[in-house]
Amino acid sequence: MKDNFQHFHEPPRILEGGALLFWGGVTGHPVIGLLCALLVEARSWTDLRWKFGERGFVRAWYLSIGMGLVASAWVWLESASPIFLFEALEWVPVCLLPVILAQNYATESTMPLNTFSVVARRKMLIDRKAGRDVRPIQVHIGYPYLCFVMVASAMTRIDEIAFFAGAGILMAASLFFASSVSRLRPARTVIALFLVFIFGAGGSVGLKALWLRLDSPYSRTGGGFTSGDLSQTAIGKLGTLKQSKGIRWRVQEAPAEEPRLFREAVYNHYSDAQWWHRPIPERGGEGGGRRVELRGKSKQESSEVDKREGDYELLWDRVSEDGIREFAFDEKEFARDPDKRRKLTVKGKVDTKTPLPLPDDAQRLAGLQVTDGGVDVNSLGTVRLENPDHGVTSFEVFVGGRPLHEALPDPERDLQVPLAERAPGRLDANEKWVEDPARKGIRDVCEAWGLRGLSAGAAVQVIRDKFFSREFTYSMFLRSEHPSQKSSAVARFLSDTRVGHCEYYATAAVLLLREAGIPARYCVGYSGQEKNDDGEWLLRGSHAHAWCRVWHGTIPPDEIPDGKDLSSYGRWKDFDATTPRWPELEGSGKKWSQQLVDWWHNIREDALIWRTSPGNAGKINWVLLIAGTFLVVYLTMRLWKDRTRQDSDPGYRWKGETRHTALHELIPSAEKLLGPRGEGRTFSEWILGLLRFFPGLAPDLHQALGFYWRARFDPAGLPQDETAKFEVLVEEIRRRLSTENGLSTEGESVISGG
Amino acid sequence: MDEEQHDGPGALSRGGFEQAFKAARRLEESVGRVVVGHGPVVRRVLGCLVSGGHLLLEDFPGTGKTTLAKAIAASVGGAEFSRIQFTPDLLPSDVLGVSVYDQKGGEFRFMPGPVFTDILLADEINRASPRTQSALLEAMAEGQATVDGKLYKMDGLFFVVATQNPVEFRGTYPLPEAQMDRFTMQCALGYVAASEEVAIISSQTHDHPLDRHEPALTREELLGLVAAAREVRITEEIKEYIVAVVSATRGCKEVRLAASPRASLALMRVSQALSLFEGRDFVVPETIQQLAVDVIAHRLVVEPEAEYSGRSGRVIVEELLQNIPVPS
Repeated sequence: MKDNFQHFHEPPRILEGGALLFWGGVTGHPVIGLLCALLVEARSWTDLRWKFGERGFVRAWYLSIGMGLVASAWVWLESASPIFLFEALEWVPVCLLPVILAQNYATESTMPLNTFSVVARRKMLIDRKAGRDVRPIQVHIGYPYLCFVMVASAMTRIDEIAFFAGAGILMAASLFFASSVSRLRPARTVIALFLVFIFGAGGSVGLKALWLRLDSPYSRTGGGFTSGDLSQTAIGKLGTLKQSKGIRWRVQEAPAEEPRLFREAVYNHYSDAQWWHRPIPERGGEGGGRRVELRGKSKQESSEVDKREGDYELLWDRVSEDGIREFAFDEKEFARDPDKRRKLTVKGKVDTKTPLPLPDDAQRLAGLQVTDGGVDVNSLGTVRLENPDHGVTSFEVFVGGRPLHEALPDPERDLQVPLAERAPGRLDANEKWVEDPARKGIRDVCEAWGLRGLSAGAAVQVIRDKFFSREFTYSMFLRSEHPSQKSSAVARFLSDTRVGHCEYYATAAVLLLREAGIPARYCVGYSGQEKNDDGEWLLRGSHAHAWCRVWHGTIPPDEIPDGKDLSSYGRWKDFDATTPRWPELEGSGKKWSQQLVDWWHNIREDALIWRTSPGNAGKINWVLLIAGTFLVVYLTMRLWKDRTRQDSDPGYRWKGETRHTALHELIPSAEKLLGPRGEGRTFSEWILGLLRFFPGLAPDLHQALGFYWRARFDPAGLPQDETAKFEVLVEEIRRRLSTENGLSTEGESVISGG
Repeated sequence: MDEEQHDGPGALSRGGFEQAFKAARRLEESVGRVVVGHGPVVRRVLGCLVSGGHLLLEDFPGTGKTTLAKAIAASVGGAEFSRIQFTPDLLPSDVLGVSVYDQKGGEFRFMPGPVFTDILLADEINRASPRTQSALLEAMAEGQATVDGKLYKMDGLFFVVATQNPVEFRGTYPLPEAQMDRFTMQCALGYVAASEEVAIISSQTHDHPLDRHEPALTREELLGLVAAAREVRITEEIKEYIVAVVSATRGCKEVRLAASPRASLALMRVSQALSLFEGRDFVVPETIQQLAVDVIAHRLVVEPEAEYSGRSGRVIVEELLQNIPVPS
C-alpha cells in the first residue's frame, strides 16, 4: 500500500468509448461496438459503483476468460482456415469487457496485477496464509485495454486510408494522455507516434501477407495455392513436395464408382509454373458457343480490377417445396426428377469463392447455405461458392449426362504454348528470342513423339502408354544439377529429367497436345483414392491431383450457326496423364495419429453441419439466447444487490472545519503529474510522489511536510513565525515546479494547453 | 477546530516532550542494537510497550521473537522479566501463582506466579490449553489477578509479549477471540535481508549482544514515558478517523466478528506512543494507517468463505484503509 508500485494512469473520458466505436466500425459490428462503448463510458453518467475487491476482479477476469474460450471455440468451429486465430482476436475487446467494466465501475482506482495470473495469485494466498505481508502490484488496465482494442481493430481486412487515419488519431490520443505532463510531452508523443507508424505499417504488411497466405481456400505446403483463377504449381521447385494428410472434403456417393476425379478448377493459360484462368470470348453467331444460357453475370461483372471476374455467371437457383435452395446449370434441370440422377453428398470447409470439387457431369446442387450470395461458374467450368453462410457446408450434387457449361475450345487460348517451353532459349539485347540449340523444347518432343496429325484419342494414348508410363518416373522428390528455371521446367522434364509429379505430367500433356494442335486445358482437384467405413470418399490434401481436359473433336468456327448442335463439334474429356500408380508411389505416409485427427475432424465438421442446418440453427440460437439472458439477468441481479454510490457515505466523513495550509496550494500542480489522490491515500504519501519527477525537491518537500502536519493536525497549530517560513518554502517549491516542469503558477500546463 | 487538549491539565510542555523523545530514542537505539534489521517493527513494538498495551508476535521460529522480548527487558534497568514456556500441561496456577499452607503461621500464603512481573514473555502461548491461556485475561486487561478469591494488583508496568508459530498447528490451541482482543497489537518480525543476517551472526561470533547489554533507561523513566505518551495531542478529526477505520470492520461482509471499541482505544493509545517515537507531540493520519493493520487485524474473525479464498484480517483492513477518506 505504501511502497508497492502502482500505475494510476487512466485514459481520459471518451477515449475508450471512441476506440470501441472505431473497433465496431472497422470490424463490421457497429451495434456491438456502440453497446460496448456505452457500457464503458456510462461510468461518467452514473454514480453507481461496486466494491469488487480482489475477488471481484478475479471473477471478472474468469468471466472474460470464459467468454474468450466460448468465442474462440465458436470462431474455431465456424472458420474454414487457420485464420480463425485472427477472427478470435477480433473479439478480444468484447471478451475483456467484464474486466474493463469492473475496473471502471469499481470503487477501487486500481486492481492487483496478479488478478491475471493464477500462479502469482496462488503464491500470494500461500504467503498470506503463512502470515507474510504481501502487497500486489496495483495497475489500472485502461491503457492496456485500449491496446487490445487497437490490435483487435487491426485484425480486420480493411486497409483503407480511413482505417489508418482513425487508428492514428486514437493512438496519438492514447500516447499523448498516457505520457506525463512536461515540456517534452508533445515531442515524445510525436516520436512515439512515428515509431508506431513505422512498425505498424511493417506489421500491417506482414500481417496482410500472412493473412493472404493462410486465407487461401486451398493451400499446400511446398506447393502454391489454388483459387478459381490461379493455380500456383510446384513446377521448378526442388526438394520434396509435402502435402497435408488432413481431410479437405468428404464425398458420399451412391452407387459408388471406382476412382473418380473431383474437379475444383480448370485453367487455360500457362506461364512460369502458374496456371491461370483466362476468359473465353463469346463466339459470334446465334449459338454463342455455350450449351446453355445461365442466369447472368455475377456481382463482379463491372469490376475493372480483374476482368476474370467478369467471366463468372450465376447458376440458376430456386427454393424447393422442402425449403431447400437448389442451383442448376440449366433452368430446365429443375423440372427433372432428381431421383433419376446419381446423388453425391459433399461435406467440407468453405470460404468466400471456394471452388467446389465436382464431377464433370454435375447438373444440380442442393442444400448450400448462401443467403447473401450464390453459386457461379466460369467459362471453363470452375464452380465457386460465393460468400457461404458458414465455414463448413454439406450439399448434394446430382450427376449424370453431359457436361453443360464448358466453353468450346478457343484456338487463341487452348492451343497456346509458352515460347520458353516450346523452344527454350533467351531474349537477346534486341528483345528477340534466340533459341538454345542444345536444349529440346515442347516442339522438338512433339516432333520426336510423332504427335502431330494424330487425333486426340490417339495422341492421348501415345503420350500415356508409349512414353509417360514407360520412360517417366513419378516422384515427389525432385533434384537437378541445373539451377531451377521455372520458365522451361516442363521442357526439361520431358527431354531431360523425366521425373516429376502430377503437375509436371498434366502440364506437359497439355502443352504437348496443344503443340500437336489439340485443344487442352489443365485441371486441379482431387482423386478419390480412399474410402472410410461409411463408404465416403475421403479427399485429403495428399489426394490433390492435376490432370487435363482434352478436346475430342474439331475446332468450331468463329461463327456458330443458329440451332447448331454444339456436341457435333466434339466434347471435352478428362485425361489423367499421371501413372495410375501414383498413390502407391507416394506411399501412404500416414502417421499413427492420423486416425485420431480424422475422427476429431469428422466429429467437429458433423457437429457444425448439424448446428448450422436450417432446422437446428434456430433452436440452438434460442437456447444460447436464453442461456445468455439468464446469465446476464443473474449477473445484473447480483451486481444490483451489491451496488453502491460513487459519493455514497463511506461511513465516515469529517464534517467539522478543516484547516487549509499553504501546501494545499500545490494540489492542482501536483495532480497534473500524479493524478488525483485516492481518498484513502494520505496526503504526504501522495505529494511525495513528486520526488519521482523532481528528486532535488526532497529536502524542501520533507520540511514543508513537517510544517504541514503541525499546521493541519496539531491542536496547538503552527506558530506564527513558522507559518511565514512554511509559506515561503511552499512558494519556492511552486516556483521550482513551474520552471522545471513547464507549469504555470496557476497549475496549468503551458505546453499542452491544459 | 478543537482546542481541547494542547493546553489541558496534563499537557506536555516543550521541554517535557524533548526529554521524553530523547528517552524514547535511547530505548529504541538500545533495542535496535540487539534486534538488527527490524527498525520499523521494533519502533511499533516499543510504541505498544509505551502505550501500556500487550503484544502478540506471530512468526516463524528463529526470527527473533524471544530475543526482542529479552532485549526490551534488558534495556529497561530495574524492570523484572519473566518467561513462561507454554506447554499443554501448564496449569493456571503455574501462571498466576498458588496459595500454600504455611505450617508455621498456620495460614495460607500466596506464592506469586511469573505473571507478577514487569515484562512477561509468554512463549508459544498457543501450546497451552484455553484454560491456562485465559488465566492471563484478567491480568492483561485490568492489571490484576484474582487467586482463591483474593485480588492481587500488578505494580505499574506490565507488558506481555506472547509468541506463537503460524505454521505449526499440531498440539496447539488457537487463542480465543476474547484473548486476542486483549492484545493491543499483533505483528511479525519476518526474515531479515542477507546483509543484516550477516551482521547478526557477526555480532554473535563470541557471545550474544544481550550478554553485554546495558540498560538504556530506568523503570521509572519508562513509566514517565508511558505518562508522556498519554499527553501527545490528537484532534477530534483524527479520533473520528480512528473510529471510522475500526467501525468499518463492522460493516464488512467478510468479517464475522468485527473489532470492538477496545480496538479504537488501542489504536489511539499506540498512535500517541508511536508519535512520541517519531518526534511529534501530536498524532497524524499517517501514524494511524501505519498501525491500523497491526492493531485491528488480529481481532477480526473472518468468514470461512473469505478465509478459504485466502482473505485474511490484514488484507481486509488494508482494503478498508484504501476506501476510508483520510484526513488531509
